[in-house]
Amino acid sequence: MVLAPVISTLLINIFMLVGILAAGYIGWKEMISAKKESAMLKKDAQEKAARITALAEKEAASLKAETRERADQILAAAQSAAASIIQKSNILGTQFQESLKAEFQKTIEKQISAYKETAQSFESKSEAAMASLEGIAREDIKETLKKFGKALEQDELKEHEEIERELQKYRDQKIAEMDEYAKKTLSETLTRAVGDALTKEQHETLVMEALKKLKETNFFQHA
Amino acid sequence: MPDEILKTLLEKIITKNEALELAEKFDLLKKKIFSSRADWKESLKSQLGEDLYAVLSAVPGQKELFDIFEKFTKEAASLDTARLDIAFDPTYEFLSKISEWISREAGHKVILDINVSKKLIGGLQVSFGGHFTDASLEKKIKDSLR
Repeated sequence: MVLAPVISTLLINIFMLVGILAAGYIGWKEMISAKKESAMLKKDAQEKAARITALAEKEAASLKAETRERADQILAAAQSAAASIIQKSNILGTQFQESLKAEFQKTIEKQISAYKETAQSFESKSEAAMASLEGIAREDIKETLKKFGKALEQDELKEHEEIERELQKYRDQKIAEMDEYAKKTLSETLTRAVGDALTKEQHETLVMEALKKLKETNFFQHA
Repeated sequence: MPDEILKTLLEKIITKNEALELAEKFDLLKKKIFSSRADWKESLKSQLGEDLYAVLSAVPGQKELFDIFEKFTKEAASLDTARLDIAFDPTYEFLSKISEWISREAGHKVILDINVSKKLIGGLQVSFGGHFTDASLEKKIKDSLR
């Protein structure tokens, strides 16, 4: 009988300990599960980013191909314009260089304005494509947030911002690439067009005219 | 007389390459005359073109000839050079015209160092006496595209 209160206290303590252990076990299990969910979320975000980049890459490639096609059309026109400029210019006259320069200025201005139009259309197209990609990403993330609850919201938002930053960076880079490509092609084709159109006599005239201009600046006396 | 011959030879030079080639040719000729002990006039005739032979055959003797060769190599190397980058393969007549024109402008003999670069499109780039100027069509087009 004397032992009864001791046993009962002991039993109560054991029950409490078991309860604590059980609660701890459940908490630990929840922690593990939260960690697993967090890792899954990260993996999910990474996969999304990879998918978005692949889509963006595909979109940029198609834009680039279209840019090339448009640039080729513009430049084919530039080529025939350049040939006609050379033919029309009074190659043997003293005004040759000035008139060639003026005609060139006109042609180049036309090409540049056409190019700007082209580039602008590609840029807006590219922006729309990227915006839709961002939209997909945003929706995906929203769904994920609902699923995993507010505790993870902060981290997820950070990831979203990161994706947006990366996309912005990617878009800027691709637009700059297209811009550079079009400029380079324009310059190269004009160069080729004029170079091919000049005869040996015209080359000689250009050299002599340039030397005469140098004479005006006393280049050979100063040097 | 040898001085006049040397002057004539130097005046004939238009390009830097020509000067180098001729100096090399004279050097080989000198070695050949030495080693074969052949008649120097015969060697000149067989190794040089008619034009050069006509000038050098007036040299009184072998010693004077070798003097001319030596002086030519030195003086040709010290001739003022204008480097011209152009967009086409020029004819010899055109180079001669330019060389003459530049020499007249500079007030002394100037030889040309010609480089052909199609990317210039037309016109030329000139480097002379430490100065450079770009009068090429490539530059004009690039400037316009800026």
